[in-house]
Amino acid sequence: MKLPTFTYYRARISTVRLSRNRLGFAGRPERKIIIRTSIGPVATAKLAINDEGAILAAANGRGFAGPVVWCCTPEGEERVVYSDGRTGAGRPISLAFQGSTARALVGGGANLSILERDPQGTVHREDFRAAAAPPYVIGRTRMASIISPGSATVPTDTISARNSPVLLPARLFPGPGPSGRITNLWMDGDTVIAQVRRAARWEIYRYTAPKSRRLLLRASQRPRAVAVGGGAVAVAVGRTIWSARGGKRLKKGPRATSVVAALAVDGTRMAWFERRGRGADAALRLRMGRVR
Amino acid sequence: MKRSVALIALVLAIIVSAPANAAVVALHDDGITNFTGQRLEQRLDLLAGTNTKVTRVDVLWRRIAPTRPSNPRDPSDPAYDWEQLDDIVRGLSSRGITAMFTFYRTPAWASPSGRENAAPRLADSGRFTRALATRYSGTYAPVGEQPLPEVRRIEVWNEPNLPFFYAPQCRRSGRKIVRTAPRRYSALLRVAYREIHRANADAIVIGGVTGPASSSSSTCSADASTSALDFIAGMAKERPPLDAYAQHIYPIGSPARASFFPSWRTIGRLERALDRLKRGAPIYVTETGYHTSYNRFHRYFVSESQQAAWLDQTYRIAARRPRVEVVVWFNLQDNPFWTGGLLRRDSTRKPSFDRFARLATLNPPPESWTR
Repeated sequence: MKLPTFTYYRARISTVRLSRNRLGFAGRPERKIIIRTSIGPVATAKLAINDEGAILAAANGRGFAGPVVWCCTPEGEERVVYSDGRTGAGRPISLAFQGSTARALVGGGANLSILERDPQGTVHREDFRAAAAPPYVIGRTRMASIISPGSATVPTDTISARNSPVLLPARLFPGPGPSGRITNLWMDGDTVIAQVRRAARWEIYRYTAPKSRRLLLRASQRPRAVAVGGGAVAVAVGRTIWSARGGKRLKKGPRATSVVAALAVDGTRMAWFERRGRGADAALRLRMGRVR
Repeated sequence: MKRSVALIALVLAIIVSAPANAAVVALHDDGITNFTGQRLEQRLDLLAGTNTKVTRVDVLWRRIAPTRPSNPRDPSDPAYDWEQLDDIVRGLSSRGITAMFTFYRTPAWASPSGRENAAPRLADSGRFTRALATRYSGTYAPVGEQPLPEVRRIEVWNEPNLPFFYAPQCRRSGRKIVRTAPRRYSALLRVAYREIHRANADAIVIGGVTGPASSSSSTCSADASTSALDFIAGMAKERPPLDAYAQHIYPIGSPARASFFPSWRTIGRLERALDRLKRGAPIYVTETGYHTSYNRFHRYFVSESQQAAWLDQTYRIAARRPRVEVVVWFNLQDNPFWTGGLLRRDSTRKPSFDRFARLATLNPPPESWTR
């Protein structure tokens, strides 16, 4: 009798050391977090890291809310920031670190919660109703903690993490206008990247404090992946990867050989996963390159 | 019309009634040892609300005997603190629920390392099991009180193949790793068997109680574990006496499909391995379940509706294995370390609660369990 081999889905989060020139890997990946479920495919994984090497990970799936896991204590123990098995539980939307404090924005519709966990502390939860429609993002610097893009406001968050970010004074940015709709957001340092749907086109904007906005890219198809980090921005449109540093307009860069599944950028370096195959048999190939 | 109604009723009766060899439906509440007094009574009511007629009770040796008794075989030795366990057993009995014990957690005075997971000194554990079995033999009456109810089924330790409960698991001999836990545990079981049967000839001593480790660690570090199969094989060399063998099963995947060992699909392998230890020994599955959210000790989780459906499936599959005598669902209620409860942490019911209650009603334990 042939036994079935596929009884659950999983997301694995591993770390690996970079090589000396920081464009390759040295050593073997070390598995940090593994999330396993039989509910359904783990469709999206979210990650945040801080300067101390702590990891915050979430893995949502179609039809269920994934957990948010912080990793790790010196003994290698992880801490669960959020996990709710109830039907209709809020999903992790965005993750960030504020220093060593892990923060997760969790919810659905207008009901949102910001969860905070100090590495050694308990989880603090603050529930609120959002004034605007999603998407939302939770910042990782002191510049902002949450954005409500319907009005393109960025409430500043320079005081204690215990204060509700939504109650703090808002910093207003120019929105995309009536013909545009922000569909996704990313943050890094004092930079906010917004993906805007305008008529049949997709646009990528860069917002910087206090009030500037700049168009980085205009595309005819929805970007597959967007990354921001170390002052650089990278966007995968189809198989082409566009990138630039210092707020300049994005330039065409390397071309992936198959579907870009994930993208990351940090200063002059970028890396992306290319997906080979479909469904349970899909495999990932990691490629690395330089920002132009 | 009347005939067709009768026919439908008959068909329904066949569908919902238990198969002749259905496993006993039981439930564990690991939180029960956290309560005393009125709160314990409320907790027992909560347990009884599931309709379970059999429950597994943790006997935390370290808590009952914080200091060394001067006469450890005597259950009335003043060093023993039985008050909470007495209340639990009496409370269960008054609600028509049969208890089965699992004793573990080594007191500092019986522990070579001082830790609660240390393999205890054999003489100490033997004397304690004697006191335990005597106290709950059905004939023992504390001074000025009615006799305590009988607890006939006693599991010897909990998951002795995992270092969290039983250490050390192994030692190094040159380059070789010698798995010492099965042999040491066999000695513990041998002593416990003798002492329990001396106190209560009708007692059923359940050995093994192995946790769901599918493979043995390749190194002999402090967190090294021994696979259930390796553990049974190690025990088989020692041939300790036992009346039944307990195994914990937490499938990764549905009960019908999960193919890792130990799982319901691979229970035949467990039966064959057990036959080398004691031919035809009954199997007690004293822990099984599914977590409905992620926690750091159990990184696999299912939806609440899957948990409910797979609870049904678990008991259906168990009914097809005549050697599986009881299946204990673990646990009554979620806690930060365990999210496989029938109740959430806020005490609201998951869908599995009603499924369990229905199964427990339809499958009352046989008389041999309730006598």
